[in-house]
Amino acid sequence: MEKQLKSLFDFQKFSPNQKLQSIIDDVESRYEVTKLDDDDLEYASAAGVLDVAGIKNSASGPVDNN
Amino acid sequence: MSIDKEQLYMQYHDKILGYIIHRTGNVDLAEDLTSDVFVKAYQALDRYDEKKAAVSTWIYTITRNTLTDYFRRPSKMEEIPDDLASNDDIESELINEGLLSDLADALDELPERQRDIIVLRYYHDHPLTEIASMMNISYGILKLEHRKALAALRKRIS
Repeated sequence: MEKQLKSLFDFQKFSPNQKLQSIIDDVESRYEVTKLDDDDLEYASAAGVLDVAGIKNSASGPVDNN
Repeated sequence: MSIDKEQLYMQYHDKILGYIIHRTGNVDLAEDLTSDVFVKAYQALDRYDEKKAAVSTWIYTITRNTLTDYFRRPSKMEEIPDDLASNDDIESELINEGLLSDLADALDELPERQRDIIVLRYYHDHPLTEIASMMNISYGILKLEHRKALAALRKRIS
């Protein structure tokens, strides 16, 4: 069971299930366990999923629209 | 079932990249490894059997194997994470999106304290001693609640 739980939660990090993510977010809100630093927090959606595009844009610097 | 390469890329690129960023903390490295994942996936496409695993499980397995290979490179100074160090293959019947839903439903039925223990232990990888401290309960009670939670989940998910 423990092995399956670890596997399932790791798979959740890959392909999040919304209901499960709500449960995880609820726990995190009560224990302050999020491991995201302040920069990454800016790119985390309400579901706790990283905004990959946001992180990449930030890493490459401001976008030149000219 | 044939999988369209472009569709595969569009559907899974960000998931793979996000997952590897989460596991390594390094965006540039994650982009390189994500490319490796797709190279391997495209090479293995003709061997993919939908009866054995859903596409998401299949590509997740390739992603994990790619990460494991990375951590095992001789040049790597950091230790390979425990879950990747295990030589056990991921059994596709242990993980799929339907089971994530089942897990969510099962957790919903648990008392809050037991639910918290499960998430803190298996999603956030906190040791039980640390969880006891976080929850301000004795280690003995924490272990008892942990056992009860596992027993309840075993009935619902297995």
